[in-house]
Amino acid sequence: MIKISNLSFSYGSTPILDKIRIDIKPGEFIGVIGPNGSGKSTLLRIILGFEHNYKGKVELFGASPKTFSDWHRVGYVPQKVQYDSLLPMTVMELLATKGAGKSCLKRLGISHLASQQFHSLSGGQKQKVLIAFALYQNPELLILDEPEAGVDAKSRDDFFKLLRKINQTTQTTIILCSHDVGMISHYCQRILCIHHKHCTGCTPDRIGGVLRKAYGSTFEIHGGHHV
Amino acid sequence: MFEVFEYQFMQFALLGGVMIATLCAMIGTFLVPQRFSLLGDGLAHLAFGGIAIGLVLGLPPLLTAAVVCVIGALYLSYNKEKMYGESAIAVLLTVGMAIAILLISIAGGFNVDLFGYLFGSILTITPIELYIVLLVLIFISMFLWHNYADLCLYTFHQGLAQVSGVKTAWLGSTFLVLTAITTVLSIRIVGILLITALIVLPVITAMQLARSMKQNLVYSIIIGNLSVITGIVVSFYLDLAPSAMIVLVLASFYGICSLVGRRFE
Repeated sequence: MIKISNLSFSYGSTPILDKIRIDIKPGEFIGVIGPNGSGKSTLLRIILGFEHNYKGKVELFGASPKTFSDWHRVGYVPQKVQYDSLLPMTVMELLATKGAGKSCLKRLGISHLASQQFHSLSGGQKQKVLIAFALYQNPELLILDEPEAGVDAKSRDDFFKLLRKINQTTQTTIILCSHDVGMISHYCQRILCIHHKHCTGCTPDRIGGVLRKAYGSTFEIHGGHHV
Repeated sequence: MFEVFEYQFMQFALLGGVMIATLCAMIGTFLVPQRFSLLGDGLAHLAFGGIAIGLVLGLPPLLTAAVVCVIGALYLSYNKEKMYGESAIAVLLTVGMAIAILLISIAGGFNVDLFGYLFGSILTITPIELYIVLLVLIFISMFLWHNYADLCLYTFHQGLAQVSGVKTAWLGSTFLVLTAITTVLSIRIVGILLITALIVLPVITAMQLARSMKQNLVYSIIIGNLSVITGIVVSFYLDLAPSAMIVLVLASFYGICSLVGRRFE
């Protein structure tokens, strides 16, 4: 589904990613972790075709993201900080593109939010609306960039459970970028850790060693929560 | 009492003002949330350079201003990812003024009223200019009608719009070109120095009251139109500069609505 080989990327003269290799198969639930500024979001931006000046080969459904056009196969939930909190846009106005309507809200049980202003919703409700929008055309791939940041613990847990349910029931491939190592290691099947310009892949039971390498400190994971 | 409506030049001024206020509100509704409030200012200063080029070459100044502004808008569209948005606007603003000052100094001044371009000259608007404004108004209305949902999503989050299948490069560039044309037409109403007010103030005033993007658009148009009509009529009776009066009316609306809006929250 996604094949990346020898991917290198720099912001100006600052190298961010260096010769990264990743292979993501259909139906996987992948967590992407790493310290601040390690290049997690950059990796997602390259896969989504937002960044073009990279070296190496990136394939999204067999095509380069630069020329990819089957966007109905991809759902995307952006970082919370990237959208405007003052915009007086209702949930229905947000969903109007692609003809998405109340039906996509019904799927997640949030039809009652349709006429409300997006910025007046709670963090958890905003997540659900954006996921409902991303899932509208039944994408084969769902990419989420730190969507749970600033959300309370209960909503975050509900959010990860919802993603697991989507992954298991529809076989949608999910790539989730997050700082919540505990949740990632509890819910994801495979973890990609971006650190020092490189990417290390592991299964949740082997995350301890990878974290020590990436963050340079001792980590313990207890009951799905990061201490 | 309605003497103001008996003069043909006032009828033209009011008609032109209403159409330009509608155009500016439509553009501003999407421009302001994109953090490009000062784009109108940058383009208007660039237009001043275009006006000077037109005067030197003996071409219609607003036509050369429109050409220069469209080039500036396309430059901005292709470079906004590579530099800070406000830096790109600063480039347009300073380059436009530099071209204008240079050409004015080379020509040793012009036999036209440059103050009319700087501060607006709505009372001298001609029927041909009214027809041009009407055509642009129809075109931009149709553009917004066809692309409304895509523009809303683009304004909310450009990446999300791209992944949702919106042709963001085309939409963004076209929108900036339409902004450039609107800016050049608005020079006749409030002038280069006050143009930002007509694009920004109706929108941020409407945002105090609106509960949806559609409401925001409609309220912006209403506030812009009321301000232009009030400004022109008051300036007629008090013999004051219409452009300044329009901006002060807009600012008053903003002050009142920001108080009322907060009280209702």
